Amino acid sequence: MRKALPILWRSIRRHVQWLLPPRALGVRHGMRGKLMRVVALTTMTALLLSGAATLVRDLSQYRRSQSSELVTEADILALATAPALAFDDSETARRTLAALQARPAVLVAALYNLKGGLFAIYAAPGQSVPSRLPGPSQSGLRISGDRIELTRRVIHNDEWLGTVYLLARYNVAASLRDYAGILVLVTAISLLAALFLSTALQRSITAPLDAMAGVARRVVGQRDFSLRAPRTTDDEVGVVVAAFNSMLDEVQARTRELEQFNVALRSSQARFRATFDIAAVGVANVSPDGRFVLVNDRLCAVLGYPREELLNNTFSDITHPDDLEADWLHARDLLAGQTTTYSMEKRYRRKDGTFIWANLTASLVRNEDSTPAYFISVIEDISQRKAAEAQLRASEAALREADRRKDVFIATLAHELRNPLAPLRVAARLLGSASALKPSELQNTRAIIGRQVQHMALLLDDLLDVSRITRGVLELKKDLVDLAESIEAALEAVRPLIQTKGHRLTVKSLPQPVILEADSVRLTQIITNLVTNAAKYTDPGGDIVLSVEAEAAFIAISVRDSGIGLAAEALPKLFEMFSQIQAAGTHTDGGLGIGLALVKGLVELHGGRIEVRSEGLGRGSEFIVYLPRADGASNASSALDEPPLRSARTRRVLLADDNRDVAQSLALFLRLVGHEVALAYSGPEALSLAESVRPEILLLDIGMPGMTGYEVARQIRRCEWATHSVLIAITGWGQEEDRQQSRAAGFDYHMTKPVDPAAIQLLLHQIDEKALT
Amino acid sequence: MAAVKTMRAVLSVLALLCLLGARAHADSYPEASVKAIYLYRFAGYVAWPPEASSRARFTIAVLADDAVAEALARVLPAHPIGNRRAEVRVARSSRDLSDAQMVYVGQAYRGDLGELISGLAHQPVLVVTDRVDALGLGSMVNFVLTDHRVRFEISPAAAAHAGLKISSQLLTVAVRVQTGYLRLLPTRDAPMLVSAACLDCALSVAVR
Repeated sequence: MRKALPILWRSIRRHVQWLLPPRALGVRHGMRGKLMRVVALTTMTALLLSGAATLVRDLSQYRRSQSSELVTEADILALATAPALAFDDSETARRTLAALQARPAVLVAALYNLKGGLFAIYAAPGQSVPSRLPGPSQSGLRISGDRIELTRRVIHNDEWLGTVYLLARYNVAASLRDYAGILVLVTAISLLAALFLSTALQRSITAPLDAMAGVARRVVGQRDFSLRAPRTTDDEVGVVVAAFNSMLDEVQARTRELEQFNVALRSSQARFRATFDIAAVGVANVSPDGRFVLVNDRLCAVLGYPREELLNNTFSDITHPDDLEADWLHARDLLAGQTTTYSMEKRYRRKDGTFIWANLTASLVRNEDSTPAYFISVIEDISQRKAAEAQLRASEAALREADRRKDVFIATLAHELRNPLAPLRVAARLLGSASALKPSELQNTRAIIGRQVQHMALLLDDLLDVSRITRGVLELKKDLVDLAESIEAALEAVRPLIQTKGHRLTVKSLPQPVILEADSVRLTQIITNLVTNAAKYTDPGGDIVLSVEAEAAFIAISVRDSGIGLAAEALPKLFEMFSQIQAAGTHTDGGLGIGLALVKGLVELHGGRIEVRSEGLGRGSEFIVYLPRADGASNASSALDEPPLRSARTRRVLLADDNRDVAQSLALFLRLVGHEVALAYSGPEALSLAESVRPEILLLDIGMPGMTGYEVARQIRRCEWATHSVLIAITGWGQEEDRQQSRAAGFDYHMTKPVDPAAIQLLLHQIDEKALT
Repeated sequence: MAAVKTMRAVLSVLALLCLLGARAHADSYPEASVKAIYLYRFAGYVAWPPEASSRARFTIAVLADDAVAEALARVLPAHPIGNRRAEVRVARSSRDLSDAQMVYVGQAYRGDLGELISGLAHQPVLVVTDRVDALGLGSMVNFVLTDHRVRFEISPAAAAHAGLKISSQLLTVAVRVQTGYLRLLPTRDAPMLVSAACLDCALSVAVR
């Protein structure tokens, strides 16, 4: 018994584990436990109720059966003892009663005759005869405590023969105890049986659920969505399992789909990343407020920023201020949805502070709700292209400039070459009618011819020299030269010009002779050119200083003037070809503008160099030639034409030209043909002369000192007397724009130098005819 | 019905009490009264054949004992037997015994008892006598006085011979049950054989 109990307990425990909290399942209240509790409670309740009902029923049954049993017993006894009573045979009655020994429940049995006298009695063994018995008058059944007694009449053939009395055990407590014991036992057995049964039966319910719970746990724990709960039943649990499985199907399918998407996304991202990183152009994602969100390596390289630093910047931080507004406007249009993309060329500031040109192409990516997400900016470094373009533009401009200069040069050349021709032509005419000339006039005419031819020869020499230098074919005839002689020769050539302009010339030479190895003619040419230049570009009455200084290896020859000076930006180009023509139309003196280029070439041929200094416009200039130590003009003829014809009508003519030769020769011709001629050599002079003379015809040179021909014409046109005057511009500039300019200034006609006297005569003739008509 | 029965029982008790009332002592009644009541009570333990039961009245003929007849006459009017009115007939000779279901021959009868009983043979009549060795003469129930108490002996075979059946209950209170039926003479047309049931009864009684 002692060994059996623990085994039984273990067995019970094994089968009632459901009563314990199912922690192992990770569930607070297990399905199995709930089911078992339900089964246990219902079974116990049913058993207790039915047990109680059975008990009540059995008790009443017990009572009824006990009663009826006793009554039956009494009746049998009555029947058996009726003859004994009837025939007064108490002995027989006693023997009959003794048969009750077989009934241990019956304690006492007694027979009474009609008078109530005791007829016969029986007492069970060990049972004392009660001292007092109820009389025959009492009848019926009485139960008191554990005793039941019955009194019954003995009747035979309708005859009351006597009374029978029975006293029996009424052991209802023991019976109750027995019943209760049985009930408890049955209840316990039933409960156990129910639990065993339901344990076995509920497996059909809980096993699939447990399996499903296990699968769910493994799915959650291992993220393995291929697991399935086995479906073993077709009931609701089976439906739940099926639903769970189909849910897992769905999850698995979605998960697989998601993984595929992820793989695709990763490869797409990798592709994008690779493309993004190796792209030859800078790519960036820029937030709508302008911050860099994502930049590729190329962009970092282009902008010269480390990535982290670049990501701390906005695009406006590194955009050139001049390009910022345009960029913002484009971005604003993009944000407003007016454009989908834009492209512009702009400048970015690199980290080192320099700017680069880049081509920006930007588009906008929007969120699902169409709010702006980020800009995609593609930034291409176009600095090289820009530089190339700029270079191209510069060279193009240079070419155009050179071309323009060539045009100007050719015009100037023509101008300069024709300028001497006019006086020569006039002189030739005059010589044609030499008989009419006085000897002094003849002499003057010859001098004019000589000077002009000389001038022209010089021009051509210069031109040829420059050409030779450019082509590298000029050869120097070097010899030992005394610098003082060369200076003297040069000054002799220039002196007339200096005197004409009223300049003061100061020469500061060294006390000792300076000997150079040079071509003496070229050395004189260099000095002549420099001094002529100084005289030309200095207003009348200026100072010109020529000084010589000896240095260790060089002799420095300096020519300084108080003239118009030079702008700083003009200095580098000063020695280039044709640079003199900077301010076309306002040049005050002749010259091809090749003088300084020639000087430079000659100086360099001598192994020296030339410098120019100027403190600015209007503040004079200084040219310094450095030459290594100890190692250093022409005639023309003109053809003579037929003599001039006299004009039909005498007119008052004003002729203004700063070239005195031109002016005087032309004036001579006009007087010859019968006109009254007033001569002026400058603008203001022409203006004051015109006021007094009131000429009908005005021949005005455009490029005059003091005031240009244009200005003179404009002022004369304002005078009332000049209403019918005819203004004729005389200029070396004969192109269409020059004609328009002169027309705008108030000129009626435009003539190109050199002026053919016949053309003037013809023009005047035409004017006469026009006035007549 | 039960009420009627109970009432009748109560009435009979009252009557018997009246009958027995002459004796002051509990166990001391006039012998004739006891015998009369016994005669009446015998009828309750004997089964008559159907033809005898069909008569309208149950008649007890009393021969040679006026005291008993007188006692019966007081009892019977209030006590029907088997739902029939019972009456007593005082017989003066054997001829007066016909048509009765029970005949009591008192001690005073001087005639040949055997002849008388023989005359009643083959008739369903319970013969009750009050003489020593009367059973030998063919009597069925014979009173015996023992210890001043009226007892009786029974011969079920004789009764059976007459077509009557005596209840075994009655046998239990008989002082002697005549089992020597071999001494009985066979009647003319009555078979010698006795029913087994009858024999069993007799034997069982004898054993007891």
